[in-house]
Amino acid sequence: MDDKKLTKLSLILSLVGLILIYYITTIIEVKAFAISDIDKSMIDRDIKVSGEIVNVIKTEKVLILLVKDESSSISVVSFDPEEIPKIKEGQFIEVTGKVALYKNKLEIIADSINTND
Amino acid sequence: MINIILSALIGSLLGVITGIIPGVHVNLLATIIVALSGLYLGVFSPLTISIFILAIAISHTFCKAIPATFLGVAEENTIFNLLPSHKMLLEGKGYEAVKLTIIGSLFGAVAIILISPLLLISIDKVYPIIKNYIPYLLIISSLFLIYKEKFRSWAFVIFIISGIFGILTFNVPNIKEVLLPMLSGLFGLSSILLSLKDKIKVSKQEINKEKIKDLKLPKSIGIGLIASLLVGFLPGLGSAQGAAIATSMSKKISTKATLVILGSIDTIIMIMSIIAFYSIERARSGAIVAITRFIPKFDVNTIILFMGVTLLSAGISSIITLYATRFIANKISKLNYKKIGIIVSIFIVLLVAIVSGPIGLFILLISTIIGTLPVFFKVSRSQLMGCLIIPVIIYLI
Repeated sequence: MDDKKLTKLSLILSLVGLILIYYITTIIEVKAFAISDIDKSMIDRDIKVSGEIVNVIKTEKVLILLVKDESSSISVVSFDPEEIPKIKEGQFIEVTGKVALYKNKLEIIADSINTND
Repeated sequence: MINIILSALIGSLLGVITGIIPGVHVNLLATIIVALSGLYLGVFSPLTISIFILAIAISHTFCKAIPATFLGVAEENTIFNLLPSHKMLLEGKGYEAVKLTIIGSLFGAVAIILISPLLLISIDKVYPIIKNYIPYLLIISSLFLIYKEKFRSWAFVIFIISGIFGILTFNVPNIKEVLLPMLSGLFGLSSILLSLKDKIKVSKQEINKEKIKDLKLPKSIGIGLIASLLVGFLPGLGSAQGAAIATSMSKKISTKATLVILGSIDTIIMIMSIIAFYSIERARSGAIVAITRFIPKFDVNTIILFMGVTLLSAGISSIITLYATRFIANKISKLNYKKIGIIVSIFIVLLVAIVSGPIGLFILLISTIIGTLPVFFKVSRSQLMGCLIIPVIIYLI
């Protein structure tokens, strides 16, 4: 085996590794959690929460929702505020997104927000 | 996904850099990462950190051959690389020696990943049966190696002395990284000190980018795989014992093939420790112990993800290691090897003092003296492997 072949093989293996990583991260089902169960160990992890919107702050670039379930409440941030134009307090939503820490408080950076309407 | 890929890439790069530094063991890095976890756990997810540790561990198995080949400093299984790779270094083929271990690691990784589904479903049932045959295999192969010596009685005596030394050393209480002083003295410091009296001049290193012949790749990877499977799931055993078994199994094959086998073992055993944790819930490596602090239980998805990270890290590490070896090979002949020998000897002593303490230094002294015996009695230094083989036989019988 010469250096060229070894390098090619290494690149192919890296590519296979990348495909495997892509495949598994897309099929891993995003689990639903009660808001009170979300803690710092889950930062960066994709999760799903459901609850009622108790506060809405909307600007041109960001939508911040305070979502409450039976256990607790958490801020949900969307950087695509036009995704749900008619969002309002009292609505029940299901949020899929990543747990993040902002100013030492946990929040969810939303990938998708589904209303029950 | 981006976080996972980035941590795998950064881990691989860091692993190669730290792996080149003589004596920096992956367990040490894993311990530091766990110890400092309070600082960054809020910023990075447990999964991201686990992948970072795994990538470091995999890349370490690729680049450990660099200090073993060019400086004569080795750890655990690379201790067995010393003779063949040092021989190749003196012939100006240090680059080729490292390349052979990279080939072994790369193909070893592919081989173990390909058979991993089979291992995942069968290992907890099959392994207790195979385990019973290992001590007899070791006894036969050790006697065979002694029989092949010119001075058989001395070979037997040195094998037994090494074995007794191994048993005593493994029973020393409260010592950290007991293999470090034991193997550094037997195979490292003893040969460096003996070489100081000779005028060793490392010849100009040839960077051979062409095809390497006489590899016997399928056979070599097969031996590496079998040796790793024999020890990889057993408590207390690892790549050092796997290398000892493989070396005794592969006595008849070429130096090049031996390096491919030795290269494959460390990588295979690292990947096997992932499978072992899933199948029998036992952490068989320092890196897995560290990972389980962040992810206490693996599921099938975790295993698939870790295999993906392993392949990515293996590919990247082999390329980086290849380039790093070319760089070092070009510089090594310009250095004074005697000075390097003295510096490395001091480094080994300091490392043992820091990691294993005063008892470690005492073990290092004894192991260095035992390590010189084969030279004086004209027997193969592989008889020193008794220090690992005899305790394994006693442990398993």
